[in-house]
Amino acid sequence: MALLEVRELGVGLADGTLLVRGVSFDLERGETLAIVGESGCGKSMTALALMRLLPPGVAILGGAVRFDGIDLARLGQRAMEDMRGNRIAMIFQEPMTSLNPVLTVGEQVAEVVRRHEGARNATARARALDLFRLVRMPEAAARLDAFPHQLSGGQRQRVMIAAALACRPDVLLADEPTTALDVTIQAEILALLRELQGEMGLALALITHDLGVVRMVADRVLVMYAGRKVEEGEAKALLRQPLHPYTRQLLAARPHHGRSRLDGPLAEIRGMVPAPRALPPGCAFQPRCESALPRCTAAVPPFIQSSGYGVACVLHDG
Amino acid sequence: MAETPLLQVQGLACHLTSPAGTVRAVDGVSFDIAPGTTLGLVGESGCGKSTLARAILGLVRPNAGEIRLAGELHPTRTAPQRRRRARLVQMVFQDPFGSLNPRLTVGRIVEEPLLVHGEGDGASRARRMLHLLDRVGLPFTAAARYPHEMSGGQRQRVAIARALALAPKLIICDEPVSALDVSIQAQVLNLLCDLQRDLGLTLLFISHDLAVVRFIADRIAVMYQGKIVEEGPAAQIWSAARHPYSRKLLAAIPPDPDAEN
Repeated sequence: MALLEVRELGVGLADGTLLVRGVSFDLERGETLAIVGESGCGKSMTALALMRLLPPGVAILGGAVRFDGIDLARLGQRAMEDMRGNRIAMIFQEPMTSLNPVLTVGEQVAEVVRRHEGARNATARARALDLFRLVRMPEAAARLDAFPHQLSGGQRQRVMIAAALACRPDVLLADEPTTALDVTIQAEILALLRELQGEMGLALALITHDLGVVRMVADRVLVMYAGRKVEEGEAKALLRQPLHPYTRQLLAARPHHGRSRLDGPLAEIRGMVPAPRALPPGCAFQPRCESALPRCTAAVPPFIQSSGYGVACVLHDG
Repeated sequence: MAETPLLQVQGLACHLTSPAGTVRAVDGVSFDIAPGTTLGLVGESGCGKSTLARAILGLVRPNAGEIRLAGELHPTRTAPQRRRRARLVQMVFQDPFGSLNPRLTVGRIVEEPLLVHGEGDGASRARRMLHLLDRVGLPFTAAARYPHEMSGGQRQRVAIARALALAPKLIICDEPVSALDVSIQAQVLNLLCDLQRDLGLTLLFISHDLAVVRFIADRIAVMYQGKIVEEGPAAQIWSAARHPYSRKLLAAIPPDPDAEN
């Protein structure tokens, strides 16, 4: 049994419009799963559903989220609050908006320790310092008394990671944690997450639209399109030889190593992700697909899996 | 004799003053861009890239040095001088949502520079506006829509159409694709390349993404702490960067899967 088992997760609006359509995946201890896709494909909604932090008007409409045998989708509000932070934690893209601007960052991390462990002030502060050292915060002791605006973007993200790890969670969900950072800082934060994962045996789910990030850290990749899982497999294999045309076209759209405009234009993906209320018939990607066949409009292709690798495309249905 | 560079920046220094003290945001920068070519400018946040862009636009007055456009100094002391500069240099920003007036239709946004500069009459401005929309790959129906009704990629096309309205010689693109999905990035990058080729535009393309800069630029300048620490042909910077900071930037790029064994 995997640490986290997501089965046929459905997330949607009150009128029944689905934003996430029957997504299933497992997450093991010590593993990094990257969830990739364009904006509007349901990546963040999936993560927020696991945390039970969906925005107002959006709810889990079906499926199960089993964590260590407990179904988070049906857990009571109070029990879920204890779960959050203690066992499953999340970090977001822009740490500035997740941090309280009028409290020192040390106090904000100490608060997490107090809330979850009932620790006293001095103990909590000492734990905060330990956590700052854990996330390799430069001049950790001095930084405890800094306010968020006095830190760089990378340092703020380190604070968020420290707060998320305060109670030694088993699962860390990271939603575009490095998108707002400079590339050199991005590489540092990803390396940090990787190291911490090794030290703590974390299960890490990393949501990103950046396939470069995926290449740096992921063990396994789940590709989402228009609310559905369209491809999943071991990262190296998937990146080297993607089976779903969507994954292939996403990879081809990036300027490749050393490629110049003199080598010809980039491969565009025409059009854009359809709105959840206006999905095309059949495969949702078919209008943008370079390999589309007439039968692609007939039905949503099933997700077919064999030996740990799966894809939902009529080109690979048998 | 070599062609006069379209943009010549010589010994440029811009100091920004705040209560906390003075920052040498741009600290003695010199470079040229030949007409019809693209210079990619890379560097991390706070290295002075955007201040440099603002100085070239004439929005920041330099403390030292000079900026020549097509061989001439273009002072920006008076309003008519600023308008002449605007005819030569236009800008495309990272976040088109923040740089497009949400209460104006797309047609009006694209027409605005023509209105401000008193170009033509209503009918000729409308024709030019429709031509510009077509040029950036937007349907004529886009003219009646508002920025919030469009996707991020479409909004960036609107911003490009507006930047083209006065037929400038130089367009400064500040992180124009950083906020876009990779699929849409490709569309916008291809569009910029097409426009450059067809209109003979000169581009200053600012980005933190070295792979994107390598794709679009003829030459690359690496900026670090207010100075340009390395400048050269794009292929050369990519394959044989010398400055430690350029190498650090290159090292942060994930390995090419095809190059692995």
